[in-house]
Amino acid sequence: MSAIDTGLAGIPSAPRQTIWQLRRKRFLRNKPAVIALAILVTLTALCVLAYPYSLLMGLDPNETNLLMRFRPPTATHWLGTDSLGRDVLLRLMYGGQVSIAVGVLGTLLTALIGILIGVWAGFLGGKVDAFLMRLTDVVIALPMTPVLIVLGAVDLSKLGLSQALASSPGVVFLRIVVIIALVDWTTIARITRAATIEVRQREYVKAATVSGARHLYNVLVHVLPNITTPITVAATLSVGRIILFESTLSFLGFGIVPPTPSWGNMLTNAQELIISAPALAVYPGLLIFLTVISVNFVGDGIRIAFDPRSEK
Amino acid sequence: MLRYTFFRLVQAAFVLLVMTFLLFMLIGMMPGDPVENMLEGNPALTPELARQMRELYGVGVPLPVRYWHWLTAAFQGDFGFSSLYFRPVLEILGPALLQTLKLMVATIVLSIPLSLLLGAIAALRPGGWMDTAISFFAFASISLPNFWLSLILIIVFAVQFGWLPASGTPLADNPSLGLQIYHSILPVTVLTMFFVGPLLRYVRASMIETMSSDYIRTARAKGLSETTVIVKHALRNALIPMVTVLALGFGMLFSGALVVETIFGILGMGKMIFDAIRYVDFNLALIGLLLATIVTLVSNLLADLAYAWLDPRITLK
Repeated sequence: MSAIDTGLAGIPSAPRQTIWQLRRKRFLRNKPAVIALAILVTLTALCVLAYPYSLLMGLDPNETNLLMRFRPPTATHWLGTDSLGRDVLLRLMYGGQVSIAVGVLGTLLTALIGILIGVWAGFLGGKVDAFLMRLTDVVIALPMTPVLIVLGAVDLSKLGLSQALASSPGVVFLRIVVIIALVDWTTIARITRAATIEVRQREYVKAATVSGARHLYNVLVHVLPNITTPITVAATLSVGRIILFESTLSFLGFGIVPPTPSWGNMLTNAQELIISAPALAVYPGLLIFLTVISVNFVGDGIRIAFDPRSEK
Repeated sequence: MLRYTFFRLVQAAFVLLVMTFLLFMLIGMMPGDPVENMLEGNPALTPELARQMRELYGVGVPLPVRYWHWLTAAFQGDFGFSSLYFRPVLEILGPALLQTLKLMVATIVLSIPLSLLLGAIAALRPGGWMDTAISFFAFASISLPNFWLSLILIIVFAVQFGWLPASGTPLADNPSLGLQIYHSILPVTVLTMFFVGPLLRYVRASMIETMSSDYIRTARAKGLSETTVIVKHALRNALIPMVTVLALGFGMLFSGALVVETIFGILGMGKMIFDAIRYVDFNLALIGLLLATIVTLVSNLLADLAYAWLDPRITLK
């Protein structure tokens, strides 16, 4: 890792500490970011504990019980029960797993597509660059939510998948990740391209090229390790956006489908229940909000910590 | 400039053509059968005509062939029937677009002054408590799921207090302007909340940069009052790049409008597209999505042109 930023670590203002120590120090000085990180870790931990919690309390997230509908909080059901008599807290925990997993996996896939396109465009330049950047412009110009809904409505069995496979929870989950990545890669592609162009013009890349290095070698050895910083920052900031996309899609009925809970689809029927059970409309959205705003604060903290200009 | 505009228009037309193909393919892969949907949607079709249509479109015919039929008809101004509304799709499109534009214009008219004010205040003392509070507000704005904010506002203002209607469409046949505004308060609030955050972050960053430039120092050295410096010198220049942000935000706002229209029951483009996809109204979904794409493409083009026009240092080629 230290090889990445030797140029920065050598500056006189930072004696005897690596760039990562410096960044960690800067991040820890940023109070909102640290608090947000703590919230995020706590929320994730709570969601991961869903299964042990269900064993402990003897609850099942999908078991409906019509005699137990809309119960207020009790000793077994800490946040009460929903319209089908299921435990709200347990479903929130499982729903959180889905939302956070989509956020993380979606970001990884988004970053992968964005980096591929960005490096390709930035490193080769010329016609390839012009074409890929126009493509990026077009995708940016698309009305996001409508396009996501169409992609979410596509019947996978018409693409050759069997009906059972197309509606299995795993495939539904992966499909959300894929369709969000298909529309969200543009930011990372643009940032990667700009960074690649900057690195490509450095002396050592030119030297490698004249020495007969192939493109792939240059990209893997010289370009990629030197553009990790802007990509990391952009990727962190896209986690929040992706969680919002997923929850919106699931809320509208084109994302994660019940009975699998997600914070978005737990709000789908909330509109009909706002008079009888308004609390059911509050929790899932509050958790989405808390998660996304925390991710954004952490992302901003990372951005500031990674920015060499932020050192006072 | 003229050549550039022409080039961009040709490019936009090409993009649109490609989009018709891609969207046609995607919509064709929605559940259900397009011919059946079309027959359902047009009550005038006799079984004999239906048979002819089946022959014409052919259920077994591959999607690309169907696309070609659609495209040739579309160039003659025939975009087909809606299976949801039993009318030609073009008749449904106009009123829906008008509804959405009303929502969006109201949101933009509110968001611009609000973001300028908040952004400028935050930029006065970066790191000060006002800046911290406003930045937090901006973070909240970009992190709030707008469907949830809609639900919460309905619970608080419509259910608990009963001050505002939960529906965005007045029940009266010819609602007065006042009544329309009354019903639009909640939806426009949600959209403004959603739109102000990114805008004000932009204004703030742009203002901080402008405030440290030479001409601001000169203006101050001339002895101009701080208000004059900020309003007349800094804010005016900070405004230029905002044109681009606004245009890019247009697509975002359209996406937001879809959710808000669906929840508040406003018959705009967003709800139309949503319903069309949910009830597999093939023709309506296609034209709705295409129009949405046109709107964003045009706003992007206008932004680039306005940018060059406002800032003499930029030349387009």
